[in-house]
Amino acid sequence: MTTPALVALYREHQVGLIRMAILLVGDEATAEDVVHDVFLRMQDRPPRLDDEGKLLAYVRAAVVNGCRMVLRRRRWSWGRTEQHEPAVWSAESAAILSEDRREVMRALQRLPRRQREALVLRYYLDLTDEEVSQAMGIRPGTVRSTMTRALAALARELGGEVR
Amino acid sequence: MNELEQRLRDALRGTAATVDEHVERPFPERASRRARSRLPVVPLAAAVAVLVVLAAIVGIVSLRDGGKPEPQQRPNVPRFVLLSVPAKAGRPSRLEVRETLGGRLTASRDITDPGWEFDRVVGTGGGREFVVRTVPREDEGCAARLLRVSVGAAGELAEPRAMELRAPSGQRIEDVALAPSGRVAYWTQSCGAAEADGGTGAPVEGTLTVTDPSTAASRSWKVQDPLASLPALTWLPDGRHLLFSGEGMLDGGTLHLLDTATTRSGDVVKAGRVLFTSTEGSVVAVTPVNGGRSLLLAVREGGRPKGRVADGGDLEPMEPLSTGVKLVRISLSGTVERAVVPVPVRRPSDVLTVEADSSGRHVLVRSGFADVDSGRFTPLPWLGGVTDVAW
Repeated sequence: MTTPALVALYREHQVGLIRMAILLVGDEATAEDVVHDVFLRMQDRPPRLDDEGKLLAYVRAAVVNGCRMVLRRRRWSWGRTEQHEPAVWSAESAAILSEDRREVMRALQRLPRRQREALVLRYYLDLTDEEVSQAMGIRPGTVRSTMTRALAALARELGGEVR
Repeated sequence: MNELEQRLRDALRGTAATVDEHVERPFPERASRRARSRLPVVPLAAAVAVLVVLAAIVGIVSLRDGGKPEPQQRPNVPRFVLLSVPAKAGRPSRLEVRETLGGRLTASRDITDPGWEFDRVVGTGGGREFVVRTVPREDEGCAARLLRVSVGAAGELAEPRAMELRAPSGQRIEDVALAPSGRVAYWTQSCGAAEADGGTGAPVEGTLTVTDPSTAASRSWKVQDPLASLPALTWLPDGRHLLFSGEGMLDGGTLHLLDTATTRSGDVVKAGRVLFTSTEGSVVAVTPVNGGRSLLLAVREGGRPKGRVADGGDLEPMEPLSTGVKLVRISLSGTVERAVVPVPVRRPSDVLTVEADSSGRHVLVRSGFADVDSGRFTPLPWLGGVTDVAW
């Protein structure tokens, strides 16, 4: 993998990666930090990929992992306050979201982390089971069962049933 | 796609769209790398000459400073540090023992169950005795375990021993502090639906427990809603007094002292007393220095939450948090002894870990060493990517 390839990938996908990260960590500043860190680390220690076509999948997995680290640090050390800004779906946020979207996003945040990640990767990025499994580091079969449980849990959180 | 899936997709895309695609975000590069890339081809001899001159200048300055070595070469820092390293492809999470001087790896141990990982590491300050928290990698249930870990005189790593510490029902162990005497303090918090980032509106409860493993005697205090967390939980060397930051309880910028021997159980904030109030930000980490006569605080500038609890129990808007961090030394009576220049860490979470040597001058954070006296900061590359570090 070459630095030009990394730069090109950044230019093409940075917004998409930040958008994916904000769905997991809640605020744009933290999401940008996560993506920023991933690209810095990749310059220090470039991944050994047999195919540059796999670079995006690698970066996506690294961003998902970076989001996990952020959430874990928040939990054991800072409570709610490490977030640079309120979550975009919170009442405090300046971001304009409809009440229905806020409700869905708040329900999503109440799900276990793995279910949350699976839903974001599938329904935001439209990834296949195989791609979701690569990004999350779990087996494709586990992706399918996680997705089923996640949708059922989300329906319960929203006070309805899966249709 | 059913109605639920449509709603979900719409919400995700609407939320993601709050990120403005027209904002310019340059490709992240380290400064030195950029500088190198701009350099034309420089003759090798000239580069060597420049380096020789620089080395001479550094040597002269060093001699004028008493010829003292770099912070990590000082003799009074503990010999070893313990690191928790996250799992990577094909390798589970692991613990590593490294020499503080230079970072040489002396021992490592992969986690037994690859479905779990090491995260929090705390030590007594001597570089030999530690408590490590482990959590599941894929499941956010209430599971978390604590292990006692000992490092031998030559840097070897003994088999970690499980600690029989339990969280109250529905709560998870969030953080822990280990006293030189072996006493352990740990706080727990509601998990699952009432987890801190869940936003369910359910009351978040917490508990601080102090236990002496040698006698199994324990005491506990409540850690109350709304945020129910105890950042910067730290023992004084006497193994009796505990310190914790009030940041999580929206009175940010305070440091509390709790006498665990005499105070009654109840609300931990009411049981303790405010030792120090920062006007500049919240206290995110603390470590005793000079035998416990002074304290070194990591204060996040501008990080003090401005919100308060409204009548209905909801949080009012909080100002965005800045990222500056500085070290401040105070006496045990709360008087500021020395305000230190800001620590140039890359992000505030790098100082969630603050370990000082016995002199209180040399401070280890998650990204390197800070020299309190000179204000110099020395990054340590071998700390890159670790989850936590302690001595």
